[in-house]
Amino acid sequence: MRILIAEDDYVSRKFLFKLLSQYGECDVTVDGMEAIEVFLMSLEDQNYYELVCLDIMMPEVDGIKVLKTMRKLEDERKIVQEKRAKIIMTTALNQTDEVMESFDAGSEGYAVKPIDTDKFMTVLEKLGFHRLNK
Amino acid sequence: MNSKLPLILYSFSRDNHLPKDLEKHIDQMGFKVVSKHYTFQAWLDLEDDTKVALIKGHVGACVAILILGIPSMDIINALGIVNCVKYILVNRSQLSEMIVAMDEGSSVQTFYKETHIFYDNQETLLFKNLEGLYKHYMHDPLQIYRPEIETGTETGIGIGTGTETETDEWLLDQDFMVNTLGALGDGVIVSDFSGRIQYINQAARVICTYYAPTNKTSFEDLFHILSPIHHYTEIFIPDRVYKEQKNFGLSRDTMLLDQDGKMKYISASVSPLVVGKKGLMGFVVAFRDVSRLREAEKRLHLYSEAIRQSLESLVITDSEFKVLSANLKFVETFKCNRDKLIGSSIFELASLSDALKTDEIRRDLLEHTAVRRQITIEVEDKKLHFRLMVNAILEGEVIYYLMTFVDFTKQRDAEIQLQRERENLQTIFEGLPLGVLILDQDRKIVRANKSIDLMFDIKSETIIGKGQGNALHCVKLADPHDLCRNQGSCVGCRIDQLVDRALVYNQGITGEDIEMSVFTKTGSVEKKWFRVSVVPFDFEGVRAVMMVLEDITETKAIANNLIENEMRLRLITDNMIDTVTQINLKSEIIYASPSHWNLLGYTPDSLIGTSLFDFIHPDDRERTMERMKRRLSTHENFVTELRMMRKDGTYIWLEAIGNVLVNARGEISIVYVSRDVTIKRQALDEMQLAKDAAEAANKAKSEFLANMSHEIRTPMNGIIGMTNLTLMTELNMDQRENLVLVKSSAENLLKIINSILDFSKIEAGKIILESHPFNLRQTLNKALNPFKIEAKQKGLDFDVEVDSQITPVIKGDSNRLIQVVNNLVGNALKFTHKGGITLRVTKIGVKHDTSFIRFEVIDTGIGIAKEHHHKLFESFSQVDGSMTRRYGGTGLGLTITKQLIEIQGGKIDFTSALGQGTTFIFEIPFQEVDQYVQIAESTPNVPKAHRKLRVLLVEDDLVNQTLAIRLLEKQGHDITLAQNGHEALQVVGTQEFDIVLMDIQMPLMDGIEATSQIRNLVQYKHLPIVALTAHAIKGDQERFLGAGMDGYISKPIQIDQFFSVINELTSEVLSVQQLVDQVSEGDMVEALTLDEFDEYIEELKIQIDKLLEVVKLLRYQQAEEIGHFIKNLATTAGDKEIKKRAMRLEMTARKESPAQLLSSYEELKQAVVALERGRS
Repeated sequence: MRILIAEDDYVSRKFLFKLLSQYGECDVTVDGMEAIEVFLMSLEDQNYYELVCLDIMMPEVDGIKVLKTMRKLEDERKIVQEKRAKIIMTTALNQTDEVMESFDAGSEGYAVKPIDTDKFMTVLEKLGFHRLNK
Repeated sequence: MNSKLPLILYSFSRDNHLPKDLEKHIDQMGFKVVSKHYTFQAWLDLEDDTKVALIKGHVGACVAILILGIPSMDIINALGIVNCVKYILVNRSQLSEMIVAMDEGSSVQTFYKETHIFYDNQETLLFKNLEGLYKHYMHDPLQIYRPEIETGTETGIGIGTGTETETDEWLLDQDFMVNTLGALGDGVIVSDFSGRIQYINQAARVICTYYAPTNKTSFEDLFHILSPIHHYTEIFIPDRVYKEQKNFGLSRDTMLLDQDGKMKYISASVSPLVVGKKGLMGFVVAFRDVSRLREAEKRLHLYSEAIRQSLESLVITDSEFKVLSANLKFVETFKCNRDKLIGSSIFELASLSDALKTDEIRRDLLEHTAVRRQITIEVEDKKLHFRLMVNAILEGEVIYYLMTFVDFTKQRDAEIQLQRERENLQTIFEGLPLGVLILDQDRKIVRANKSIDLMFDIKSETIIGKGQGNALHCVKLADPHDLCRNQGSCVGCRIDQLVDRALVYNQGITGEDIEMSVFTKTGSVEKKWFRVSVVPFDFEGVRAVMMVLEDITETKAIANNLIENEMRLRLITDNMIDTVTQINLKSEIIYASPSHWNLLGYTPDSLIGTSLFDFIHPDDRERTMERMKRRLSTHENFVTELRMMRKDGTYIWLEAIGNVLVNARGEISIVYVSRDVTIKRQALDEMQLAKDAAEAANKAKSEFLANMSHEIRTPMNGIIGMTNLTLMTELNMDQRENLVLVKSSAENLLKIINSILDFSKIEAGKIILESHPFNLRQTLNKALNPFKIEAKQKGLDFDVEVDSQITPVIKGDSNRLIQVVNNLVGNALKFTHKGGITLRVTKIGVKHDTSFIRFEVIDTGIGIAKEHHHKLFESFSQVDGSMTRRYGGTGLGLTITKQLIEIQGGKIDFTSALGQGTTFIFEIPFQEVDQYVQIAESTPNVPKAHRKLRVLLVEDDLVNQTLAIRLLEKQGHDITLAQNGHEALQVVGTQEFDIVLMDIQMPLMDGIEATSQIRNLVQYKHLPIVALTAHAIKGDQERFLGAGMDGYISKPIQIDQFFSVINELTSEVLSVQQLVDQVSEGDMVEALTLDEFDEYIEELKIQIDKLLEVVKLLRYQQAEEIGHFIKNLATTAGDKEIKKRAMRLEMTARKESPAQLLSSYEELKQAVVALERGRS
């Protein structure tokens, strides 16, 4: 299982990487643009990401825009529903507007920083992701 | 004079008194006194025979007898002369009456009736009467004389017939005839037709004044007549006689020219003369001089006319007051019928019956010869006033009365009017509120009115005859006890001077204010001011002076006060530091105090007439003007601060107090008192600045904190996350315990940070309230579950009671509500160690569709001491410092709670007792959502639009138009409708749109054509255009997209699809599209030149070498950097393969896995090598 993380903060990136590495192979990007590029690359290689974690507050291209672009890229390529990525937004802002927008734009989940590890893992369970047996 | 009529005069006056010049007058009247007899007694003494003989002796020698002093006709009758003389003139009762009798067959009585009575005690009247009589009887001389002449003529004929002699001198031989004719009073001329005169008697000679022998003249020369009928041409009598052969009379006005050349009226008749056998021999003219009669007649006529037309009402009655005649005026005045009047008693006349009493008149007439009285008669509702005179006229034994009514109504009215005016003037004079004195030439008071009494406290009647100074108790100014020493002695007395002017120079003066000191009854001296007018005028025909005095002492005092006040105020305004400015309603300055110079640098004069607003700072003008206007309507004072321009152009701050001033004429002005408050203002401004700065700083701090949220949470994320991760690994007991502490500390820190951030957000106004429907019960349960667990763990009861009356779904901000509930319940749990906690929710009221819901959080905890109640909701305060240590918390919880409740429109309060527990009560209004709306809201049909869109709908079908418009309106978009492609193009050219919904099949221009044309317009390259189409066949979509459309909506419209397509294309569509374009732009990069390619390869090789070093040393970060660099390099070169591998390397470097990094490196290196190989 392939996971894509987009997060500009090093510690948060590291945390997510470590946490999500328990679930699968994680690729880490440091800004929105890079995330899109990597995502596109995966589509082109047909090596799809199952899970994408996007930080909303990122410089240049913010998470919401990245989310929309990813969904558009998937649309354009007519990726079937099962192969489309599950996208979870993360943010330090606890603002309903953004939560609503991200859901409208096609995200599957939302996590407020600092991330409540237990809660986050519950959400992942619900989305059908399971920790790898170690 | 031969022509005079002989008259015998008898006087019966007792004193033998005869009027002066009687005889002369008689002579003038044409009579000649032939005999005089004086005294009645003398006459009576005569024997009757003697009397008769005496009178008869005169018969033939006289025509008139004038009898003076005879009262009764009886005496005249007794005289036996009536048949003997032609006239008897009787004077009765001291020349008061004349009676004329005539002898010619008519009785005295007859004559008597026709006599007009004139009476007057003046002797001259006698002569007038004589004249009148003369006239009267000359009125118709022919009538008087004709019978005699006719008789004479007949006689003549008779004579002729009776004497049949044949002598030539047939006439003259007969002595009898001659004697007879000679004795006649009338002239007789006998002539033949040749004009030879046969005979002239003595009378004819007298009339014609011809005394020469008969044969010396001809008939024509002698009887020279003029006839008025023939225009005074001569009439040839002989011819007429010859022709007519009968008697005829000459016309009435025939005149004869006598030998002296005098014209005389004559009465003449001509008879043919037939002498026996000789037949018609000639003619006889008998005539008499009637000149005097004619004159008298004329005069009489005039008198009669005068009476008839007299302006006085005249009536003549008999002795019984039966009206005999009345003149025109009488008839008119008394409005009576003349016919009825004649013969009826004057006293029976309706209008006179009351005013005239028969008895009184009769009685008076017995005592006096004439009655005079004033009577008032009402004629046709008008009161007329008459002077009535009744005179008795005695005609023999018969008495007549002449009544004369002289109307003096107008005169009387005028008199009454005059009397009234006089009374009015008197009333005015007395009632005048001004004192009036009238001084005569000697400056003594002759009249004074009542006002003088009041004004000077004197009795006006006591001052008559005094000089005005003394009268009015004027005190000489120099010495209060020295009374005015009479007129003129006071040197420089102004009143005196004025009186002088009036008296001497006849000049008046009006309204001069003069001060007088007046000695009052109480002995004190009062100074009084008078407005004095002195006017010269005629007082009862003598030059006098009217002095009018008006007491203006009070007015003067008021005026003086006013002047004094004015001066005082002037003094104040002129010397004050503050400025006083008065402006009119046009804002023009009408007064400016001198202080303007000091304060603003303007001289007051230069300000007058200028507009106040010209000096006010432009920023303050409108405000000041507005304030001024508003206060004008209320007339209240107002205070304002404004900047005024000094003369040097700088502005100073003034505090101005404006007063609305309304003067006596109703003119409104505004008076400003202004004070320099520049220093105060500067201080205020500085304070304001400081305050603003402080507030801004506070806000900036809050904003900073709010914005810090992200920055603070991010490291917390790391701390908590990493701790959790580590706790997932295998650890020894110590390590685990340590980490658990780290975790709990971090969580506490997070709570504190959250509180501070929340608080800051509220402070910064960054909380945005939301409103969405939610199920209250469910929401509460969900939120309270963790607390229930916690309560259970603590061994506490936890109850939630929700009022069943509350509608399940309400609208509001559920998140904020939960935050509040969490806070309060959390607190309750924290401070409660036994007992329990209850959350009670009740509906307390509904207003319109808003229900007020009360939440009570009741605990049985430690409670709050009374002394701490007041600071419970304050920021950063906890009841007790030790609390924090014991219970934790920031002390912001309740503050935030309170503020959250308040921004939701609610309020919070609490009750608490130490050791017994606390109850927090808050109320928040929520909108009630009814069942229908709840369903509607729950349907996902109309999602919320991100923003308001300007939509161009191009659609020709009405049904589709309507549906599309309805749906778009639900999202609140602006819709412009075009019926076809043409219209769409036109509209697009003039308006901007966010999206176009384009029908494909349309008349004129279809959707695909329209779209490509729109795309040709440069500015619409990225305008989203959505196809609306029923073409659901696969492949159509490509056709639409190929034509430049961005999406399509199939018909019939599926609501979900409709909105999602629009939403997709309008929400950040451009940037997302750009991003998509950007990530695939590598394809579009132009091919590199060979040199460039070589360069690129070289650079890659260098980087690969560098990378190798880094990878060997496992320097992940550097490896990532180099990977990134290579990626960018490849992107620029359009080398997708290298870019991909560089990216992989970048990512594996981040994973910090040595094996993966190495493999990524190898892949990249291989690619570079392959590339290099490919080149060569």
